Amino acid sequence: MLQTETSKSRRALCDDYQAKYIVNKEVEWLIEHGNVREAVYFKGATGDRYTIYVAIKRNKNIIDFHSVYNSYGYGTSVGSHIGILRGYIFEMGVSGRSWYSGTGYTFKQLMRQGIMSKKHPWTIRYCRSAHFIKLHDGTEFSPWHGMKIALQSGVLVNKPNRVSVTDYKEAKTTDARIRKANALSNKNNKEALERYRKAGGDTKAARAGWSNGRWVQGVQGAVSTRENGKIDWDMIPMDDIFKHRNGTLRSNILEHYGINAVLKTLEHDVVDIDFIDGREYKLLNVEIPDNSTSDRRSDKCLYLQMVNPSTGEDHFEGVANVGNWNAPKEATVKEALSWRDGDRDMIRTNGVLPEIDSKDIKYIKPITLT
Amino acid sequence: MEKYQQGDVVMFKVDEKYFTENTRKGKEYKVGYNGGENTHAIVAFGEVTGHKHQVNMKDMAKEAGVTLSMGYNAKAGVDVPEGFTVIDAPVTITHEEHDPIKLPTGYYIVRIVREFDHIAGRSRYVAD
Repeated sequence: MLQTETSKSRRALCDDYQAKYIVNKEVEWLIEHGNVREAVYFKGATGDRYTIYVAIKRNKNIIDFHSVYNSYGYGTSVGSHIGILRGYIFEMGVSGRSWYSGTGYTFKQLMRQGIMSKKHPWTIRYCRSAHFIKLHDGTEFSPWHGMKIALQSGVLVNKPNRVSVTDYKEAKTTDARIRKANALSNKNNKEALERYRKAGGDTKAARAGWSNGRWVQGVQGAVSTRENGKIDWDMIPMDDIFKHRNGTLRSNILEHYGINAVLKTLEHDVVDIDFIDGREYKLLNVEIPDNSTSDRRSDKCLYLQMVNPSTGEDHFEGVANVGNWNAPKEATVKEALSWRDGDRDMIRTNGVLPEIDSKDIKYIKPITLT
Repeated sequence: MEKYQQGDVVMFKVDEKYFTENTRKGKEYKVGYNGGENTHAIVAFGEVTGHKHQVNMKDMAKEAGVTLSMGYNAKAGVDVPEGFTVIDAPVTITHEEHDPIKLPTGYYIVRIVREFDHIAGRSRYVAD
């Protein structure tokens, strides 16, 4: 839409204008025929509706681009200067590296408004940690503050700066690493599922999903597809636990082998040892490999090792890792026991948890423990 | 607050006020046990092993009584109660794999210990 204080005939002239170089004909009309201080503006595209882009002719050769943030609830705020059009050379004036407000994001929004070469269009995509612009001649780079691009020929006018080169390389390296890891994890998961099925296990039953318009949870516990209802566990190696993506299938295999057997195969260190009424408790940090997700090769996970006071059997139980939601605040045996027993929940009043630092909640030692 | 623990079942001995505030009030949620008809007050039932944390009222003093305070839609003997009361005389809670525990009269809130399954990536109550 054209906003101008000039007569209707100029509006009509703009409407009738046939753009040669830029997709957005109003901007090209402003370059070719606009008067100084004349402006055109356009509202951001879907997902960017609250931004208004304003192009104002500064002098015969320069057009300034501003963005103004506008929302119904909070009114219109002062915008920022986002770039300059010098003839047909567009220069980005936005700095910042965050995907939603940096150079790449703003450039993408301008592209969506047609600030792009008509004959030699380019593409932009966000990859891992940076935007990538690919020109018609195959040149690929990350946009940067000060980037100059020719709208007529669709070529880069200046060389990428250090920030741009670093961002591009980092994103490319990360992308390659994650793609490789994804491929490996897909392969691991696929093979583990195949083994599980061949052993007679039902992988579909373990999966949650929509059925007849309702969300149905996966069946907890191992389900067999065989007539005898059994799964041949010998066909499923123990380390498939770390290859499956489905939590229920992992739990089913764990249920079969037992946590004690699994932990024996894993590296771990002792974080804390405590004695309560003469009984020894150990808090272990166990290195759990994860071959089912792309970026997490292994995780340190807390486990409590204790002895059943009645039977004398050694026993392991997982404890939520410190720093997670609703988890112990410190990696100590007493904190872990307090979390395990739900001591914190007991200070609720009428079901409401008072606002106190959980470090002030001490482990309540049982009067009798069997 | 006193704590009694038998394996995966934790029983917090609380005062009457706390108990009233944290358990359901209607009669439909209360299930009474004594030496007469209702004899086995099951505090937790292990679906996997079939083992029970329970008070067998036949073995208790005649005057002793246990009332389970169940949650919404919860069934006594199958589901874990929110709490229970022990009246008139102490009772003993037993389990197949754990030594018995003597519980004095009073009000108890029941909790099942939880664990974090790092392999499945979720927190859950320990299954007996």
